[in-house]
Amino acid sequence: MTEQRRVAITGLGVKAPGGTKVNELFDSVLAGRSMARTVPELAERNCITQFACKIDGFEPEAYFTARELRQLDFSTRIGVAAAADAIEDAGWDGADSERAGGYVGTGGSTIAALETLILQYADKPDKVPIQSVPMLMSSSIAARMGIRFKLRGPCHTLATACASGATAIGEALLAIRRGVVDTALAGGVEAPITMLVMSAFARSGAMSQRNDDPTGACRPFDATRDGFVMGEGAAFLVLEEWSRAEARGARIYGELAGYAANSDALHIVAPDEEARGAEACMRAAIADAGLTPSGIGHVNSHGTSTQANDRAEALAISRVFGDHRPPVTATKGVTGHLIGGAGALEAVIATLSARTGLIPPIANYTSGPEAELVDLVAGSPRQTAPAPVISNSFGFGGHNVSLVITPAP
Amino acid sequence: MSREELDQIVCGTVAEILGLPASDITPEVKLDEHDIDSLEWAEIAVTVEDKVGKKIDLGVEDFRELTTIGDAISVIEREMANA
Repeated sequence: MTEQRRVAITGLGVKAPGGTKVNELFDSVLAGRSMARTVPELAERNCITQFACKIDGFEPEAYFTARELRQLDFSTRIGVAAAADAIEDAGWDGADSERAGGYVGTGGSTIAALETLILQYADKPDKVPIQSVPMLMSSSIAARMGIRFKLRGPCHTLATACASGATAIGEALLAIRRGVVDTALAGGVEAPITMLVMSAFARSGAMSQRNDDPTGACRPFDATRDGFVMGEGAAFLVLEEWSRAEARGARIYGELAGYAANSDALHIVAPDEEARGAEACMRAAIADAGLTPSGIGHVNSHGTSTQANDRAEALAISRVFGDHRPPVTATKGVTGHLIGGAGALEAVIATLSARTGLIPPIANYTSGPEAELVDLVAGSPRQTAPAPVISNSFGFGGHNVSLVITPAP
Repeated sequence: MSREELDQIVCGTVAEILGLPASDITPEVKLDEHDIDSLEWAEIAVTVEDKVGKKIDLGVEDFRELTTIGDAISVIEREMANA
């Protein structure tokens, strides 16, 4: 058997709460302060949850012409812009473009544009904008990326709800290993901060309703957590077959070394209380990276700040690691939950943490029962030696995904 | 409606669809400078239709092999006369 092809992470790009550049984002996450704030349009409509984590300082004109902007919804703008940043960061030359692909994770990136369309045109269907179909198709961002960056290999859109971004990165890893592509632009995107989407999540009971204290609302693993906080954003990574990245002298952030995915096969929203699927998924990803649990430096948890998720995830982590007890962070406390973008944003953060050994603190965490099971990083960043990181993502529907990222040798 | 009025409406619409200042589009502008695609031609047709209040049943096929914006305005003018 020939040796398995390895995958280098050579470029990163983000448009997210806390940063439209990767270094800004990492600084925000290390500072451990929530980016959540009141959203005036939600407050005016008296929505159940009136706050979220939004992107500050994104200038679409820096990426698109006015002609292009007319045709692109907000999710596509941030997705393609984050991808453009990642390509620039990688210094990818576009060579062998028929061997390059795109892997986009999203829960439903176009839902906000669809909501706007319905609200504006429900009573005048003969006036529906000509550009509606290419704007609303769920594969829109992958297609736009393929056209813009001349990715002539497969350009796929993957949906596993809140795990979508991690799924896209993991499937890109497999595609490179299998020799389907040599270069992949992989990540996730979501822009769900609209009146109806926010109301739907709030009515499902999963979202925090701490309207009087937005910045204190997302508190993963804290005893007083009352639900997740919505975020919008995009994150993309450039992944390259290792020897190709080395040959062109690319700066290698780290290795995307392990991926596993499975399903609880139990319930459409609730996680398995016993967390058997999550546990098996983490074990499989660590083994896929050729490691054992004791080789993992820290866990970038899914950590949504819902009671059920954080309880189940802590249980899974404690079972996988036993007495090793690696530090656990939950960066959604700062960025909010980017739904289909979350796993990708956390993969970016995990890559930087693996490389620097800096583990971000969990925003707003003071104490909670899960501290008996796992070592939660609170207050300030924890400096460790550079080491492999496991990043978990769990989606509604019982989709479990774990990625393992190791620092470059 | 005079041809001058129609010129102004169509040029303004094309500029709007292409995201350009209105002054950039005149009847003399060559079409191959802008590579207007099928959806954009459809947008131009329905937008002009709304502005002039007459049915303009045209698509990309009707605008093929033309040289200038002025040629396209002539196609629209003929369609309006037949409507």
